[in-house]
Amino acid sequence: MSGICGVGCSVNASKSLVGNVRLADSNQSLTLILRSYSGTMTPPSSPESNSPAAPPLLEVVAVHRNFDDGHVQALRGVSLAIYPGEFVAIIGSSGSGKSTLLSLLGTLDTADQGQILFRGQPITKLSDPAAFRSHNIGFIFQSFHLLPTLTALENVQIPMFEMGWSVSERQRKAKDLLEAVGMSHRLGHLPTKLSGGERQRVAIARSLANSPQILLADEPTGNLDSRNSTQILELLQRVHRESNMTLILVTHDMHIAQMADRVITMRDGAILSDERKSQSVTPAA
Amino acid sequence: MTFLDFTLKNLLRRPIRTILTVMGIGVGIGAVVALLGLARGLSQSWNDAYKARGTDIVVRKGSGLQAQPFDDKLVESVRKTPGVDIATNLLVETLSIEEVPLMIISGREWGSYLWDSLKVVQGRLPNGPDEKAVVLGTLAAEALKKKLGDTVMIETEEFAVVGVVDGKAFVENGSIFLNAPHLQRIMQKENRTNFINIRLAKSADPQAVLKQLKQELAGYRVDTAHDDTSTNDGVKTFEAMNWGTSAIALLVGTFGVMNTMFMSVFERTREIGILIALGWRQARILRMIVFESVALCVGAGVIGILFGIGLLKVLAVTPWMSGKLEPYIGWDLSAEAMLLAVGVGLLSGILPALRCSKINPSAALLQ
Repeated sequence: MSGICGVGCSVNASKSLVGNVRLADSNQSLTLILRSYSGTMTPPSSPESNSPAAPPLLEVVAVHRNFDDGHVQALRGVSLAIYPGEFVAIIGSSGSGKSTLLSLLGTLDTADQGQILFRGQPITKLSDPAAFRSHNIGFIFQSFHLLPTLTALENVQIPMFEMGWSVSERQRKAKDLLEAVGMSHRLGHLPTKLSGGERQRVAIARSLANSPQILLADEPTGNLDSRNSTQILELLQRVHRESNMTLILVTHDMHIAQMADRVITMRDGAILSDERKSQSVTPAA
Repeated sequence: MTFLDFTLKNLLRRPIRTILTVMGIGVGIGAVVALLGLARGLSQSWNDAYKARGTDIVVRKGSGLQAQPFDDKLVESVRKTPGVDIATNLLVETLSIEEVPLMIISGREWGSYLWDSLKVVQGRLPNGPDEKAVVLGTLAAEALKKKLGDTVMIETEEFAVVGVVDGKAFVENGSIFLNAPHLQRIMQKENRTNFINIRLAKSADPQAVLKQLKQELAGYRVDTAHDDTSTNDGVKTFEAMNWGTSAIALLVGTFGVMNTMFMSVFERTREIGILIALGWRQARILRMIVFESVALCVGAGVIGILFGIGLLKVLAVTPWMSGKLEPYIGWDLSAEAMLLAVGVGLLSGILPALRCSKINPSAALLQ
């Protein structure tokens, strides 16, 4: 276990270019170079990716999460395994526990019972979960959660502060990422001057800032109109396809869920079904 | 964007609140500068006076600002002490003179070296010990609005102004000088004095003479000229009182900054949750809040120092201070005030920062 980033990353190793990804927008062609550090990102051609035969990237083992002194059981013994490079959609109605599960996977919250493992290492009770998130997790939220006083370019740099990069390096990377998501013309704009779709593009660029292994998207199109929703989902698909990051997307919309390789349906804090496009796997835990 | 840029943007999002907070703590820092400037000015003014006179050692009774009177024959035994070149009596009183509420009256022995340090600017020194005349320091002449040929009423007696002198020190220039017997008579302190000023022989070891005098003059305070002011109970009390007043002003300011920082943290709970979710570690969040608090106080420090210095300059020309006390305005005082401002910033930022670093990101994001 790395002392800096918690679990499963090794920043100390020499810098190596493992992801050289071209993201093409429908209107424009842009190049995104995701510079990463060895071991933090699985290249698209990796044999371990996207396959139940490979060791799981994330394992959820009999996880319970209660609120309101146990009166609300948000998760009731959930178990599942997520593999490197998978695009997993978690679908369910409001109160099904899908967002709670996403929070636990992102170490934003702590399980009351059970364990969550990242590459075989428990992450349920990390002493420094922020360090783990910083190096392994990229978040995309329904409400974008951009900082209102910062421009698009500055917002994207926020996760980079923990990486020890220089100011110019941060700025250059943020610019590259914003160009990659089609926002090069809005670098100096505050969030209030951006449309919903543009804000989410900035948020996606921000989620990629530290070349995470896992992207967690919580209803990423929930606040967008259908045109912007389509564009954002296409962008997410491209990011997933070309970087081969593991993408876990929470939604209540079956049409969106069907874009994923695997759809996990939740109800009342438990997994109702877990289906892959090619095959049906593990029944509900 | 640097970390500093980020924290400053946070402060500037509510400019009016930031300005008011800065002004609040700035007034506190200004009070520190002004009050300490006065206390140090008092000490510095007397030190300068001793230096201008060329006094090495001072004998007095009691350690307050107003020395107690004692027998003026004591000086004769002091003169016999090995290493003492010259020793002379000095009777100092503070009196209300005409329209000026407080003025230093310096009664000096005729022919003593204390007269030598006064450079005549206009007129002359008294002709002899019996002439009923005074000379005025330049600032005293200004304060009393007197010129050569005028008279000055000291208590019940009238004296002719025969000269205006530059005493080369603020205290000296703010004083009225006359021959000691006149002042003794007016104050009904015949054969009494309250200071002995000593100039040492060039070959003398000051510490050895000091030790010898301390042995000989039990019950009296014998100090080097510098120590006479720095260890003076009156000066120390004045400084302590000023520190006390400053501490109250600072405490109020500290609570003001703390309140601002707490409000800022409460208002930004969701944003801080975002930062934590995006991987900002506890230490960085702590640093951000403390940094903001310190930045506020550094701004307040600059304003407070300028305000304090301005206040001192205004006080220096007021009638009740002009000619008596030159406020001390030095880099060291400004540096101390700035350190104090940083300290207040650290102190008032820590509690909000600790609260902030414990924010649950999951809950904060729902706000």
